[in-house]
Amino acid sequence: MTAWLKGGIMALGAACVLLLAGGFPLMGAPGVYGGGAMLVLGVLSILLCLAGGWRLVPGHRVQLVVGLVFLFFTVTGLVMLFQYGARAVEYAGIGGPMWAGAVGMGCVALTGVVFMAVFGFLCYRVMNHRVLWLAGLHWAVALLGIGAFVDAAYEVRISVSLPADARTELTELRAEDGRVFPLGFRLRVDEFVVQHYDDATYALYTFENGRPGPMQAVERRGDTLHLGDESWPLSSLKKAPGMPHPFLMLPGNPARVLVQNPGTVRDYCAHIVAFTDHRGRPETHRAELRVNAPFACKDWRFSLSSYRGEGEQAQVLLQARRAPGRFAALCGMVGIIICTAVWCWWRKEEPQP
Amino acid sequence: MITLVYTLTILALLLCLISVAASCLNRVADSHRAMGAAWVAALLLFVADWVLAQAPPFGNMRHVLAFFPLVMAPAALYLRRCRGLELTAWLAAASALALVGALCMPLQATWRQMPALQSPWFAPHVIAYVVSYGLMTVAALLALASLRCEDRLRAADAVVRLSFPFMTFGLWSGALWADAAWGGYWAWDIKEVWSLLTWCIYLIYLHVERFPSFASWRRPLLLLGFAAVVITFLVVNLLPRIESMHSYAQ
Repeated sequence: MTAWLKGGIMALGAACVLLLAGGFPLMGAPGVYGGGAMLVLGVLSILLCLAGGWRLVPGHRVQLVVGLVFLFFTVTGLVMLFQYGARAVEYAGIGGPMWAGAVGMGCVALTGVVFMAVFGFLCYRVMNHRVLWLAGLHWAVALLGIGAFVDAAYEVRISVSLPADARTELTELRAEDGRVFPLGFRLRVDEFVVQHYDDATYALYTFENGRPGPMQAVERRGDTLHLGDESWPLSSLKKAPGMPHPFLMLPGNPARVLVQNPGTVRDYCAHIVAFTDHRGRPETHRAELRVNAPFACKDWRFSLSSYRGEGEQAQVLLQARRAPGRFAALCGMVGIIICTAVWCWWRKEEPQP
Repeated sequence: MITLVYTLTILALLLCLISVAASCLNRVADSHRAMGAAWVAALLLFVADWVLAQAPPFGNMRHVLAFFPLVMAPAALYLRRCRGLELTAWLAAASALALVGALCMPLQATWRQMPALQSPWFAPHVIAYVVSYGLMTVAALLALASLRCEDRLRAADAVVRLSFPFMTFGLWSGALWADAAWGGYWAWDIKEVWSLLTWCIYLIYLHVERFPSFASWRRPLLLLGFAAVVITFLVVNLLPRIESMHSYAQ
């Protein structure tokens, strides 16, 4: 056991050294993360974790595998509860015919509760030794490592800019190295909405000989804008096609424009439509793509990275990702969190099985 | 309101120091009372910060540092009741350190929560890290104290055992959150790297703690881990030349 432990400690120490080399605040060398040493260390760590987990529970390996399967279903129930429960609440909030959807989502969420209760109880009964959770922790680390390796080898991540004009359709992705990946469906952005905090600022631009001259900050007091002796009602600022922000052209010479500079961005959302087919029949999926709510279709996940411009002229910056190892990596992370908590906080000192 | 924030911070700091002083004078009950009062002051400070920021007050370093006493007092209670460890003064000392840091930070009254931070992961991720960093500070203080009294190292073991799952949750919940927000669970950002490095150091500690042949490693590892915590939490955010995806935490 000590030899394996020493091996594990040496691998962890080497990982620390490599991380320090790459992440040193000044003059670090981030290239080490994708380098050969890190890859070899990663493989070694996965093998050590697999072997360590295997050797920790001699005679109870079937129990460990069964317990981890039960744990997986317990977590699945938890995810169902949160994911579908949140959407049920969202649908219920919309009201109207969405009630049917809300009830359906609520039923799936309740199924998650049953899953959690049944498989949680079974997991609790099967994983009845502290060391089983320690072995599970080792395997969870190995699972995370395997997922990360698969992603490092086969992940495709492409940034794409799509206009929010309800016309331009994305059918394929082009990587920086020229490779083209057909999506297998069509995607377009129908609308892009930006919400701002109520901290907009106002400025008065004076044009001299057709060119913008000095800018003066305008103070807002309630529903009125003030600059020196002049004042304007806030409602007089209007939006116009082609202009990103509300403004007011002031009469007189030289020409002056009162402009509202937008406040801090609170949130932004792209209304997207995906056209797919299911067994030859066309299907349309509509979704709201938000910063923390990516959209998944077939093998691809689209995250909302950023945007340029607002309204109809907005360019939506998406990150398209196809990561075959993602599921394993995420399962590994959840497993690490749960197994660490149980192993560290286990109250009774159980004899090793 | 700003005066109230400063007053409450100073009050919480004084109460934490009183708790430490009472413990040094073997007046344990008074130490508990002072820590309890510090917790109430920290709770009022948290509410005042929330009203001022109009959002959960985890928007800057001062907010986070001012939150430390709020989690340290329940941790002291848990360690005393469930683990039989009287560490109130140590946790009060760690809280006092954090509050001194909070007083040194500029008070940014308003905070606009950017879109990426509007996630259900935000509060649990930050709170888990606050709990773990606070407890790891206590573990480092105990490691230093163990130079005079070896029993302190056993208490440090218990504190690390309590803290490590919070650190684990903080690290990997951050990765799960990044998967949704940034389209990838790991980006080798400098803050992520240092968080992983800190986690690995404590992982080494947990590997060696039960084996007598590695007994001499425990104290240096605890101090090394704490140094990594300080760099992850403060240095990476405060160094001006560093570009990080986590720069909104500055």
